[in-house]
Amino acid sequence: MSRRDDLKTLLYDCISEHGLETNTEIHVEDETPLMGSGSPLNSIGLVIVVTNFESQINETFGAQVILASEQAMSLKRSPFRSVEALSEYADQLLPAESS
Amino acid sequence: MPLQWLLDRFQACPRDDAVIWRDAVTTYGELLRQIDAAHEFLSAQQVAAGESVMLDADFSPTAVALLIASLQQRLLVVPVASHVVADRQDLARIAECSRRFHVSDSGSYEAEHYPHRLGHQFLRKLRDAASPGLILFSSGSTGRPKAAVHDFDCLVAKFKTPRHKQRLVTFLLFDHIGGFNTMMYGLANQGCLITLEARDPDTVCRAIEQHRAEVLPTSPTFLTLLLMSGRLDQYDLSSLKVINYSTEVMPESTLSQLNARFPGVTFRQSYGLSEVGILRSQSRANDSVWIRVGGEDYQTRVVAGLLHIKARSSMVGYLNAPSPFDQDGWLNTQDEVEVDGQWFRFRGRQSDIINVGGEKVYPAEVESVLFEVENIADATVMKEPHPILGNIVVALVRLQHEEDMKNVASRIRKHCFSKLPAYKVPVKVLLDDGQRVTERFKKKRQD
Repeated sequence: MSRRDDLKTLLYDCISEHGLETNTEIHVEDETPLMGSGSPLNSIGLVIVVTNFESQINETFGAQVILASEQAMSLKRSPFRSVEALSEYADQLLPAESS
Repeated sequence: MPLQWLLDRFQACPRDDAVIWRDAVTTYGELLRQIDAAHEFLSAQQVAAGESVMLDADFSPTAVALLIASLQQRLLVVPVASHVVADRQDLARIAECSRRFHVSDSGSYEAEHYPHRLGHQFLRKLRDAASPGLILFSSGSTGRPKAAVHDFDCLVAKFKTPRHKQRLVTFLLFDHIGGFNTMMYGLANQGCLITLEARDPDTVCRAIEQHRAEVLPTSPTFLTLLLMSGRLDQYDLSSLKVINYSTEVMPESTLSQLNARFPGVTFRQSYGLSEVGILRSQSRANDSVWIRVGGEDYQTRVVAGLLHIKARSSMVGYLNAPSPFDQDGWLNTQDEVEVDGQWFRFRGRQSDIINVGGEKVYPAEVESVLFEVENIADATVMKEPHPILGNIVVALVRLQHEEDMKNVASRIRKHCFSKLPAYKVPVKVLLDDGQRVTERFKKKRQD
């Protein structure tokens, strides 16, 4: 599995964790938007999932990545447009793989 | 001479306990002799009426005597609690102190000179009117301490009305308006001040047990620490009749636990500020956080959800900040209140309120829900800037026993989502390093 796949798995875990916390079933796929209409998450849900995802990444990869930033918000193509896109964005923020 | 009425009351009960300091009793007769000795010290120092002097002390009988003597000699007194870490030089400069008096461990007075002279109009005004003054520094948990100048006669007038004679613990500090209030209330009613060498649960409980304290004026944060300590069963606290809590919003869940642990004790919330003094207050019920405040010297009104107070005992003004009063003498307390007829419920200081995506979150309300979660010993809710929501809610928690923080966060959020609207749920849950309580036993919500 590539690092991007690992990241995607982490993100899926964070989303399902949020489902458990809110006692709701959240169904997402790779192309499901995380923001706006069509997203199963409200704004607080998004922030909780992204914050959790961020801390999981930093713990797993020993990094100091910040996902929710002015920079992320101002990108032409929002990294929050889908599960796939956020995983990809996280992968880009992490230092290049050495192995 | 100012305060003669107070000394007359002392003279009427010379054998009664006045102050208990390091477990030794000083009677009112002895306190009167110490006040005479303090007058002699001030004469020997050649202190002139209207001088600003710092009194670096605690509630020892010698310090109380010097405070009373200084006010009788119409000095402008700046109390500073001896164990509080503060830059004395800086405070002396702001309050234009010509000297600092300190009570040594053996109880003798020591003096240090400062080069400052009265320049500020408020201080000169008091001196020219031959009025004793009291200058209280705000605790400065946010920003620089502000010096509130009081005309002592206005501040002390309400204590002339006789009330209950009680044995009170001086938990609130010597330089705090609440500590001053405890001291004046106790002495004016021929009660006994039970002083503390430290303010941890064991020391406080031991003092209550040993000296049969009836009243404990304290803060919600200390009461939470007391519940957490697990030490309550070790002491006989049956003498306690009243627990007065002030200065912060009390979490409802803590109040109900306290009621269960202290049956028969009256819980009373009080409300006061360095700028106006302590208002008389009444709680709606023992387990209620709704209170009625006021008294003959105070008027209240609510403007845009914020409590405003107009008081006869209002300070003259700040020495180092613009006046917080409007032209009619009203003070905006910045405290948000809910109103139900004559009853108020304090929601929090406006500066502590967290704006999450345009919605208001009151830290105390979230903390109260956090206390319901298993394994949570203490919780402090703060804000953190966030690019999406403006701010997010962050919870700092202390645990009763070790647990994986991921589990803790998950359990906390699960409980919060079932009890609170989503925007009030903590986004981040962090382990508290134990440094979130100020030396005045208030929660630190800002760094």
